[in-house]
Amino acid sequence: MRRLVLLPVLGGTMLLGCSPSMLPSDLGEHELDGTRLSESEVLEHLAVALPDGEALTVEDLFREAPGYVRAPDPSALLARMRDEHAALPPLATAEPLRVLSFNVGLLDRWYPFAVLQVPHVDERRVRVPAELLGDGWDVLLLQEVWDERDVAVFADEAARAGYLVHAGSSEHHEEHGLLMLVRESLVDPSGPDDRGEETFELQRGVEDFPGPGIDRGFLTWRFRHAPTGVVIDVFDTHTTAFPDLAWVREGQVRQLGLRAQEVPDDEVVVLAGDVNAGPYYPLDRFGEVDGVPTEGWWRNAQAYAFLLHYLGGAGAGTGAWDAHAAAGEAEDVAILDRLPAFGPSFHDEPLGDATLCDELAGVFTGSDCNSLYFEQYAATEYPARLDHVLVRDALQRVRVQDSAIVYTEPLSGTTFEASDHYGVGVTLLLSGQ
Amino acid sequence: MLCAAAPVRVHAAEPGPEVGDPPVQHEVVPVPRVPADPARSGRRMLAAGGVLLGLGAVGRMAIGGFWAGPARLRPSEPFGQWSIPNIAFFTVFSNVLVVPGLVLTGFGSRRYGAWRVASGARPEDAARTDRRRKLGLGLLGSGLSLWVVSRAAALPVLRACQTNGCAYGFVESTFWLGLGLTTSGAVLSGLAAGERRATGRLAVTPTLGPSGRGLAVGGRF
Repeated sequence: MRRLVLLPVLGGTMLLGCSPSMLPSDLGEHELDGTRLSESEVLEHLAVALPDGEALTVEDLFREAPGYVRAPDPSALLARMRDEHAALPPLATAEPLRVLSFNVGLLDRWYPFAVLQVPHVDERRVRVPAELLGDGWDVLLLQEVWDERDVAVFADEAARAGYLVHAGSSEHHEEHGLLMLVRESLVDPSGPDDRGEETFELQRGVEDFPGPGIDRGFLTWRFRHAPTGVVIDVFDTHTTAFPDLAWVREGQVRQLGLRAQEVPDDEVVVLAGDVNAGPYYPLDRFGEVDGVPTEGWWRNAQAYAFLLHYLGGAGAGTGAWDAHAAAGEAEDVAILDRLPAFGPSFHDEPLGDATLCDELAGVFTGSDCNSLYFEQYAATEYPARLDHVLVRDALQRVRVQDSAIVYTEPLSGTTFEASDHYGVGVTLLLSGQ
Repeated sequence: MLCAAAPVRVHAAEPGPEVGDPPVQHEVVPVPRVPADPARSGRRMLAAGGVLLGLGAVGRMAIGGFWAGPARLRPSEPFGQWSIPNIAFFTVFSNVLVVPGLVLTGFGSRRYGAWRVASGARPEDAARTDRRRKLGLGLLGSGLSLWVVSRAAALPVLRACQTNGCAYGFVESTFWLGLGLTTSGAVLSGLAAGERRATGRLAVTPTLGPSGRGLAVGGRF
């Protein structure tokens, strides 16, 4: 679920309440808050797009929210992740680990005077669990499995297909809608097997009440990969959407990254989910909602960089990397730079020219090329790679074999896709050496 | 407004009749009823209360229609615990109309009950009034108790509910049953209170007769 527009009366109701802080309560307490943008490989492209960006720190971006004067261009960052990963020595022995991150869009909720429903939810909630669990993934990190009844369907299918399930607590699952499934045969029964759940400090309060009861957060699962003996810490998340809520999302990815920072260096972090932020947006203004242009896309690119920063800094072997970029598949900049200028025709067909989708469907996880996305958000948003699989591997025991945007075709026998997002499917190679 | 069920005649400074004398013939002037003011018949309050109750009920039916229609909630499907705050918030909308509607209906009934007796439109009947009062207070008390108890218990009940049928069934059945009991109780007890008010009112009227003058005091003692 990405769009939540409450009626003015409800908005007014919320305005009467307390206004939550717009900053993380512990901002400034972590050394990574004080990093100068210009001194970080994952943040330097932000610095050059900001006035006086050389002197700014991450904390300054949180506190002062300076406006960008040009698009932050992550080309160098994406290329460096690709090149550094390619330069790593091959692993002597390795076991594949197929990871899927997928926002399955099983949203079917109400709040006073409104219904939030991703199209074809009834058909999809019946078919998607078996489809996903029949495709050979080892680790499935899913978002928008909001309702317990959908968790139950996944759990039934998981029991048949040999997967373990972690959906968080019964108290909080329906707030975050996250679901993790791991192939049972890959989990060393001798442990560790630690499953956790956290709610983000910063929220878009109206999404919870009087909205549809959403409090975003993340799931964690720490287990020993039986074939290699490597302890893997898996994170699954879904952060707040929309450019004008960048401050919420940035606080969320900071909290998430710092939590992942606590994982010891001899363990591997796989962090994935719908971050609702792509690495790159060429123009600050693109799309329109009810005739009002959507602005703030440049800042929307901050969350991706912040997540890499707080997770551990970019660079294979030393910090965190984006598996899609490391695999050399990140074409965000080249494709978006060729996108036609926004115009009225975007309302009529995807991107004003549906033939562009042949190229875009394999690049972005959220775009009007997805029929369910177009039905809900036509011409309101940039096409973007909103969903990511990030890895932190201090001991260089992980390689990415391939990464692809998946589930781009309609479900068999239908005209609609499995979700209003596409998934990110990654094959990692793990070595116990 | 009302009148004397049992007039008492008080004769001042008049010698009483001697024993054995034939009864004195008095011209008894009926004690007039306290004038019934049509403007205070309670009809306007009743109408206002009815409108508010009706709007509240329609609003509540619309909420039920929204749940069964656009929100597609099916009784057999699992109940979403996330929706508890929204259920509470949403249903308050109708209560904003229902509560003042009930108050107006109760007080309107009281005025109307008093006015009916005062105007002579309804004969006094203490026994009927008493029966109506007891029944009304019983219904009103039951309805209010049901509302208070069911709302106080709503959170644990809804948290324990596994299906929409359980959760929304509890919310809706207790609302409608409570509304029915409370409304009928408010009407009956209001009417009874009005009748009692009218019959309990004193009317003091001068009387003139061939053998004396006095005051007729009307009322219930």
